[in-house]
Amino acid sequence: MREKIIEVMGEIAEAGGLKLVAPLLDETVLLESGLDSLGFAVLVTRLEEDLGYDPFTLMEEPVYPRTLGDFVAIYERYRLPR
Amino acid sequence: MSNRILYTKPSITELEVRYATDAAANGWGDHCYDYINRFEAAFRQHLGVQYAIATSSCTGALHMGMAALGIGPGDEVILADTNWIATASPIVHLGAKPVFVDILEDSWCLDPALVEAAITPKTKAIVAVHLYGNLCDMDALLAIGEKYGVPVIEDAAEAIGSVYHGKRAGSMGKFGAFSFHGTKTITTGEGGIFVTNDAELYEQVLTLSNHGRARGQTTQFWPDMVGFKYKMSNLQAAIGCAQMERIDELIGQKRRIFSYYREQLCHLPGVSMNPEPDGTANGYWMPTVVFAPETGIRREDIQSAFAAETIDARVFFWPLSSLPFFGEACLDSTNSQSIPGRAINLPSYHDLTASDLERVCDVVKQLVSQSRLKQADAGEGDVPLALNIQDEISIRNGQGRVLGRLRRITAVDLTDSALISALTAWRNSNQRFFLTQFQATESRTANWLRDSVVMDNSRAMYLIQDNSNVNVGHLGILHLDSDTPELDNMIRGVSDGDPKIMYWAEIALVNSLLVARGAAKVCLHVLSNNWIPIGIHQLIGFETAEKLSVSKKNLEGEIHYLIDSDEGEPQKFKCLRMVLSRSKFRHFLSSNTTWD
Repeated sequence: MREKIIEVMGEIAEAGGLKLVAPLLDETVLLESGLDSLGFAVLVTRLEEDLGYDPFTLMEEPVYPRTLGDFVAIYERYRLPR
Repeated sequence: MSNRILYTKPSITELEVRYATDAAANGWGDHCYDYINRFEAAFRQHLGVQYAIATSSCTGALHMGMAALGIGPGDEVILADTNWIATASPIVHLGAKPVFVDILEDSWCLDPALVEAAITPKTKAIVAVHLYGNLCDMDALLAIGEKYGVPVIEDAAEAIGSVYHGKRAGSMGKFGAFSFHGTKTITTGEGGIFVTNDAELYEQVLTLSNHGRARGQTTQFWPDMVGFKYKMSNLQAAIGCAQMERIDELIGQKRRIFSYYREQLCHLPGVSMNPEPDGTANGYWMPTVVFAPETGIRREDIQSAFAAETIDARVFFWPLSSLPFFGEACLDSTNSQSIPGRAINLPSYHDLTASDLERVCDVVKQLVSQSRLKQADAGEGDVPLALNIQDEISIRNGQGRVLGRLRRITAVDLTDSALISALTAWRNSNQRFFLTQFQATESRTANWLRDSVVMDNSRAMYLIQDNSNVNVGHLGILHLDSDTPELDNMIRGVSDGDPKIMYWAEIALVNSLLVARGAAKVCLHVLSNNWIPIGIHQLIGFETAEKLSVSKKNLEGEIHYLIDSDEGEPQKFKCLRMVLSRSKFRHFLSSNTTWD
């Protein structure tokens, strides 16, 4: 999941002419990652298309990721059963 | 060519036709007063008064009432300078002098302070005209009348359906007079009625109304005094009886029409309409738009604009003091002179359709829009907002470096097709985070921008521009007229500029609202799955005050997320109401010296 997310982030950054910080670590603060808010909106949409779910829509009690590690964990937690 | 929209006409159903036919066929001989008696009784009951005399016109009712009060040569009667001449002519016919005083700017009715100032030993009456259904300040006028021993007459010709703290217009003064002209809320073709709770006055008017023949006079064709012939016919009363059976429906339709106008037009900058103060109900006989002087919109412009759309619009009453034959100017006639030059009565007949109303509103919106464009072209800036919101706000990062600016969208932007196109595309790409989800089109965006942004005095929308003046997104504010403005419509459209420009833009706007303008707090509503802006809001200090349930409903192909509703399919995510107080934001500013 982590690799998938970083891969899509890279594609979005490249398409938008943005520069991601390197390396992207679990501790990397999303706001400092190099993606802007449009990039994150596209990221959520792309992941929903690829993975088939948007965890933020499935949450009864909203949780907000601060770091890349938080973000990955949220996607792991709501991963759809295969 | 669109159909012509009349400014008014009566609502006539099969019931009116049936009663009128019956009166024509049978209402003679012993039955020649049946419908008149029935009509008077129904009106007495509706108004809550003891006595009523149906007349041939409201003017006739006023004439007889004033005559019965003994008004005559050498006397003075105070009335508003803004009136139809029908209120003044009976005074002149009786040999008395009409004394015109100015109207209030908001109610367009008598200014009580000026009424009191105009009282002299010659004053014999005050005529309170409830203009267009708007109510006079009856408490003040009745108190003045009592203080000086002067009766207050209510000319309620236009005020069917208006209620003043539980009392119907026309029922509070020494006597009241109503009109049933074909343009009025209820009609008898032509016609009127005199109403009073004063038994003695009633007897006098009853005698006057019948060529001076007193009720107890037993000698046939023997007048007791010189009277008038202002009687309503039985045929007219038959139509009136049917109208009285429908009176609640007819008043309700008038209020429905005004409600539509109010919703569409009252928020437009520089536009005011008929007021409805607390504790009152306005019958809204004649919905009226008054444009503020700074709009530069003149009566002639309005008439031309309506005529071009084949819509009838009626001018606001000219000040009576301007009529040459009255010969004497009204003292201090600021409002009565000024308002007619920038006002118009809107069409308001009962059966106006929604599309007719929309056509009328479009003309008014177009006038306002053109006015704002003219002002912008003339370099006069936009019409000032109620709360003096800034047109431009710098966006700086935590070290003070300028990243761009917030530039308020104004009327000049309405013709920027590239901007409309960009806003439409941004709306479509972010629609998953909107409560209403639909495929935006450029025309829908343009209409929304005109009606809900540029012309809404309580709202502002800013473009977020980078240092190269590229529009990278937008951010709006609602409820500027409250002490808790609401952030709204935060969208990043393109990736130009600083990656964190949205964050700094929000800080700049919140700072402008809370610190520069002194709002107590700022709030916003956001869907809880929209975690990206929520993260920004939380960083700045916004806290979740409420979590509101969300349900999903498909309406005519559009997805509507309903808040706290029993309808629709329940969703797991919520709608958050987030709030940021000034003190919390100040704390954020002081404790975040190394934000960047």
